[in-house]
Amino acid sequence: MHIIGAQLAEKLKAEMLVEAPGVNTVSFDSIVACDMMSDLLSMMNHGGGDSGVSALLTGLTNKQVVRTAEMVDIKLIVFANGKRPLAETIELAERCGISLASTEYTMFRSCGILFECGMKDVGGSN
Amino acid sequence: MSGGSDSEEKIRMQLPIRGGDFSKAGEASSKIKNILKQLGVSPAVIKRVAIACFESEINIVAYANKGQFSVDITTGEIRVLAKDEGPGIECVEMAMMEGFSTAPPELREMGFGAGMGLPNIKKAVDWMKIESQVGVGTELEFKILFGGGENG
Ligand SMILES: Nc1ncnc2c1ncn2[C@@H]1O[C@H](COP(=O)(O)OP(=O)(O)OP(=O)(O)O)[C@@H](O)[C@H]1O
Ligand SMILES: [Mg+2]
Repeated sequence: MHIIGAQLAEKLKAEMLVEAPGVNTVSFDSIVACDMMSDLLSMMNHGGGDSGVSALLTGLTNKQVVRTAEMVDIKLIVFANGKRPLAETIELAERCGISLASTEYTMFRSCGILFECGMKDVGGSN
Repeated sequence: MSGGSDSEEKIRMQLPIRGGDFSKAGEASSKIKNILKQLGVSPAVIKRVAIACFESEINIVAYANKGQFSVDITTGEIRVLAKDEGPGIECVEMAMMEGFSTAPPELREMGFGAGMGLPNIKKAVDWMKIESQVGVGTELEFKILFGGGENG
């Protein structure tokens, strides 16, 4: 399953807060969900590399999330539970070309929906 | 020597890192990542370099007073020496274990403190060495080969 940013946001009824150029031309095929930055980096390091593009689901809204995402080429961050990013987070995301969205759904429900529609784990398993 | 090959061409940089300043944390790693991209290094290798640099930069920002990256890039590899002045690590062996962390609550609120940073570095690199002296500081050196390496 490959979907563009707008479709992914639509599945989660998420509001796009930062729409970086390209978010609707790259296709996402995997999701990583976590609240600890080193867990994210650890999972992305197992990913075996450059297959598809991943989106991040998280409850963290500070700018370190964007920095960490940038390191591993994550192009879309979705904040669960209706969380809103800080102003500095939005600013950095715009500079890094990373898109941000916010969904009212919980992390659990968001993951369930994306799993159901065929998105993979990073690293490829489904 | 005329016409000598430049295959050993080198890039050398020093990047300072300020302790405690999370607003800039990650900038040095981001710079290194962009240079490798411009050099045409493969995305899979760049990802490993970015992970190792970032984890090590965050540790300096989080735990040390100040530090710096000394970076050496050749056509075949990147070497980074991350050196800081700070509290040092009491037991390196323990710090290397997955889940070991002394991160205070403020750090955890930012999403750090899983105790996975050093183990992540170890998995990402082809070679690493860590030396630390309590009350003085920590030196972490690592190397990643561009040719795929053992973790490639
Ligand atoms: N440069 C350093 N100076 C002093 N102590 C350090 C340094 N780097 C690591 N440590 C110590 O080693 C521990 C483990 O580091 P590691 O990076 O593996 O995990 P963490 O920083 O606690 O959490 P994470 O990296 O997952 O966010 C730290 O909690 C800290 O006590
Ligand atoms: Mg760490």
